[in-house]
Amino acid sequence: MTGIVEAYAAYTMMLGLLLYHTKTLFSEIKSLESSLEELDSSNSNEEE
Amino acid sequence: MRGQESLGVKLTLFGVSVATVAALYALFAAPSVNAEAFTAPDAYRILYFHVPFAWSSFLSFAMLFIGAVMWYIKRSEVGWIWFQTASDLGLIFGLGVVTSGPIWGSAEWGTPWDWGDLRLNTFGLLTAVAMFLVLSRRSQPDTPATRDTLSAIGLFGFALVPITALATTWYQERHPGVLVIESEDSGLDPEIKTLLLLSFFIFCIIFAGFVRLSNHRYRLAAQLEQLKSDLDKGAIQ
Repeated sequence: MTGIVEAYAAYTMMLGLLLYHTKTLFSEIKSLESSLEELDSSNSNEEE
Repeated sequence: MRGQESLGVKLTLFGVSVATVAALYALFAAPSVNAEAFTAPDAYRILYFHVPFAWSSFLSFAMLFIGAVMWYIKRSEVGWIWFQTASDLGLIFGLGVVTSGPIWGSAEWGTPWDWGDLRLNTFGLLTAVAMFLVLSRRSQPDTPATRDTLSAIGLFGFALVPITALATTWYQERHPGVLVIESEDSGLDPEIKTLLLLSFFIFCIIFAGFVRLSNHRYRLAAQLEQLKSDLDKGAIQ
């Protein structure tokens, strides 16, 4: 046993964590920005 | 995404892309170690990510400490944003360590976890603290009392950082000793050490990108809450 299969598994998990967190950050920021824009525009419509 | 966080986006995308290339290099091109000195010599390659993940988690807990102190002393919203970002990052980097470490342990030692090793257990506890903070923040109402309680737990978590970092010097059982500082025990090949430091540099870029993006996310969430509250007040009047 050389341990290369274990190394593949570990790297898959660690890269997966980095990619998962990146994806979560991007999608949450996008969702928050669209909610803010929606509220802003409905707020300005009411004022008009 | 708005332009103001373009630096965070660039740092994150660049860092993660380079980390992917670095992972392939670590797996297929990094120098081999003496096969007779290890049970599973290729499993050592895990260290190029395992160690920078651990150092990044320590950076996260240092940031969490600063955020918690800023919240306690000044009731600073910026401090609370730092606290939220740091607890998320502490969990992500901590999970990377506690999943990759046992994989190496089971290949090299024949057991994934050594309950008698101080460093493994204090690091496991540190990650558990980060998980508790993230889950509590998401499940509890965001009040000053909740923030006080979680900040106190975060300060306790930071106290585990020096204990974990120095545990191999004080009380070395199975976990390898300090790798980068020269000592009789480390005996790390200069090429491996250079690659390890390069890998940590890449993780510093990812860490900076994550911090910028995450702080931006929590600022947006605070703005949204404020706007909703203002609208509610306007509707009542």
